[in-house]
Amino acid sequence: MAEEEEENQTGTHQPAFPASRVKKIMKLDEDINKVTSEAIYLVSRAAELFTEFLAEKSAQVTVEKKRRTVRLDHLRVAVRRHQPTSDFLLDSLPVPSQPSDRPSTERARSRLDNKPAPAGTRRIDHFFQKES
Amino acid sequence: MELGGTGGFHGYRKIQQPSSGLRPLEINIQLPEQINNSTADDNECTVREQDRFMPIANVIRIMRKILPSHAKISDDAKETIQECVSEYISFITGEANERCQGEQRKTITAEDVLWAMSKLGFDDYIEPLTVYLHRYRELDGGDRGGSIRSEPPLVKRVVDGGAMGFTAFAPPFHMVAHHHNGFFGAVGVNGFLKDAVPSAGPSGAAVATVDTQCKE
Repeated sequence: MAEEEEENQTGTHQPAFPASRVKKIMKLDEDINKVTSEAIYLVSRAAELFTEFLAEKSAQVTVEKKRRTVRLDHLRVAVRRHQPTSDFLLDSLPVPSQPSDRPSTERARSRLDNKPAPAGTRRIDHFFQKES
Repeated sequence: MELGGTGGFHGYRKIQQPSSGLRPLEINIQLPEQINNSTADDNECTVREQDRFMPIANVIRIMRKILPSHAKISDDAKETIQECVSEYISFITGEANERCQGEQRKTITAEDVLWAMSKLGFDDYIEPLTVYLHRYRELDGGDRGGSIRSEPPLVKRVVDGGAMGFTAFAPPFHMVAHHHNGFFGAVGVNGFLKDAVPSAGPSGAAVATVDTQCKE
């Protein structure tokens, strides 16, 4: 089963995304009543194709900019270049140089850097800094 | 105090801020997404991150399939693509649902999904998705699979898959985008059920049967 996915042919009937999760996301919209298993399967496969698309087009931008790391701004350019995708997605992307709302170590770290430690305490990275 | 930022738990969108000053050294611990922490709610609906997005490991795996082996992906790019996938799912589903409701139906079908793809400008996906759908029906019985009432499928396994003339079931996106002369030619979305498979012998009959059964 796993072998099929390792080769170039994506699993013939092994989608990359778990169907239960696809269904959950579909049903986040309260208007959605029922969905057939075939519909879930197609949405799952479509999401897979879309992910491949985003990866490929973002990487093209990365190469154009002579970088080796695919970054958010490369993704943004890629989204902008494809009209149907841009129409629904561009506004959802995090604003340039401003992270999205989701917590993550990167953003938390930058927030940590901005805020002073409370009185009488030391920031933990104080311990890792050279005494100046 | 704000040291925790929007919270020390990776799994939630918004977290109640710790108000006491007794935790000065608390750092933002990145918990695995699987841990189900029952932190207090805020006024927004607290859908756990793990329910709103695809597992990031799956997203990364797909990307690595496409990217050159030396390429790196920044963390925020990974997370953003993860969010984009969910946006895409919601987008397609919403459109499919509109069509469904417009026809006084309550259940979104594969056909609704394909229709939505086309309407929203993702025509390139119709071909590969139709191929996927056929495989799904032939191998798993599609929507008839698992039902007590369903008859055993006429063809359990696709023996003459070669007759269909394709070698890859999941053409990478960049291949599909440039090939509109594919197997299905200019078949419109509504015709995909009937026209897509040449009715040659048993497999044709099987598809025709499936087609009938699947009609709403």
